[in-house]
Amino acid sequence: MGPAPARARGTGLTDAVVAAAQAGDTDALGTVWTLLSPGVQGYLRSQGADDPEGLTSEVFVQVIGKLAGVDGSASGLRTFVFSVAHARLVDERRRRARRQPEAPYDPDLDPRRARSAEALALEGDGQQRVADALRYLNEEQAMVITLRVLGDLSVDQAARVLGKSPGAVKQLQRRGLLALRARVENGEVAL
Amino acid sequence: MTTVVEELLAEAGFPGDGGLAGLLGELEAMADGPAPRPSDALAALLAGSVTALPVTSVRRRLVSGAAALTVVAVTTTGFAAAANELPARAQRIAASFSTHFLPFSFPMPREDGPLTPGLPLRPRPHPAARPAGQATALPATIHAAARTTGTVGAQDGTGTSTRDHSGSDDRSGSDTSRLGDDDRSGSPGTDGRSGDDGSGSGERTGSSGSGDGQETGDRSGGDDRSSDVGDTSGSTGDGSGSGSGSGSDDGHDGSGSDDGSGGGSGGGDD
Repeated sequence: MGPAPARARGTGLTDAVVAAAQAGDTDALGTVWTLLSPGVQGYLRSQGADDPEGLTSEVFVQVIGKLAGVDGSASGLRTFVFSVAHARLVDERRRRARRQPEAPYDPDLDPRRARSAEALALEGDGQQRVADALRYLNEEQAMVITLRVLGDLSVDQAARVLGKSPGAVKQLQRRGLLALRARVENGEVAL
Repeated sequence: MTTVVEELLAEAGFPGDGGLAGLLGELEAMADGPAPRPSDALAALLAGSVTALPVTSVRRRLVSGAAALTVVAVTTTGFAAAANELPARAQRIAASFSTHFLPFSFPMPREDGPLTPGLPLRPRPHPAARPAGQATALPATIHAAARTTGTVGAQDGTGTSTRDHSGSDDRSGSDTSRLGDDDRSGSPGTDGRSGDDGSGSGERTGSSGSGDGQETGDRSGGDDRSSDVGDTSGSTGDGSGSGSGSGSDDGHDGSGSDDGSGGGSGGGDD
């Protein structure tokens, strides 16, 4: 029995699917989209992107345009997809920073008392708690942890996406997890 | 607890931390669920109905092409304007624009500009209509380039009369009024251009002047519109004078030089 086909970590994305997508097979392209887009959208949402769904589509438009030049393996494509997602996220943050500053939200001035459907949905999925917990981390620590968990990337892959060394990524990851652990133990992050 | 979370906790040095594992598990759940709805552009790409060409690259290509065309057009127009090769109307517009907005100026169209730079365009009064005695009041700038030196001899025809119309008179193309009506019958011996009977030939070869050398107050000959600042002083006497002059005035044909030269010598007893 030959060796099992290589698989990207935790997904059904195989090298054969990637090769077919690079050849222009529409079914393979659909598979790539189906398997990778939820992680990309989750990464963008966890980082506070304004329109995670729309930004995810933009990421894949760019990815498909450059698919022929991607390393043929599934892990290579995964790294490339999250590299593009990270770059678009940084671009969006820069655009947002150039816009007029917005007044901070003051809940005392908000007459609405019923919780929005979005807040209820986020709370129901635990995403609100996660978002609150990530606010205790600095930007790079949050990026490393979300890329590793949501992108299913190794330390080396996360280092390539962020343009850092694996050692630096490990340090950021450790410090971020220590900060989260302290918040959990102090009860500042409800589980 | 999934494999990814387990790996992460192990790498961080606290494997089996339940609280942290629960939090990371909730984070991992953000990637669960169906794929989002693709945008129209992406849906078209996924369906294979369009080739993968990012919209931004098309826009960038259009902008780059327009910028390149603009640069080429401006450069070409600039060189043509500098060489005064544009049509008159466009040249006028370019010259006006450069005068107002650029640190340099393009020339005006040829028909608009002065015929010769540096020479004021003034109507030339007809010598015949000039009353006597006003010759010196004529503008002294017309022959600005012509250097006139001379010593007018005795007003009564004696003495030394030397005029050297050396210099250049580059009244290019405008000196039409002198054609045919140049009645500067210069006093022989006083003007190297003597003998110019206004024939309009434009070639005034001075004839040797031997005569009374009278130079009347009206500066007969009319050619002394120049800055005739030459010495008009001279010995006076009643001797006889002779003068010879030669000169050519090529200015009649609209271009050329008025480099008449003349010389006269005379002697007389004071």
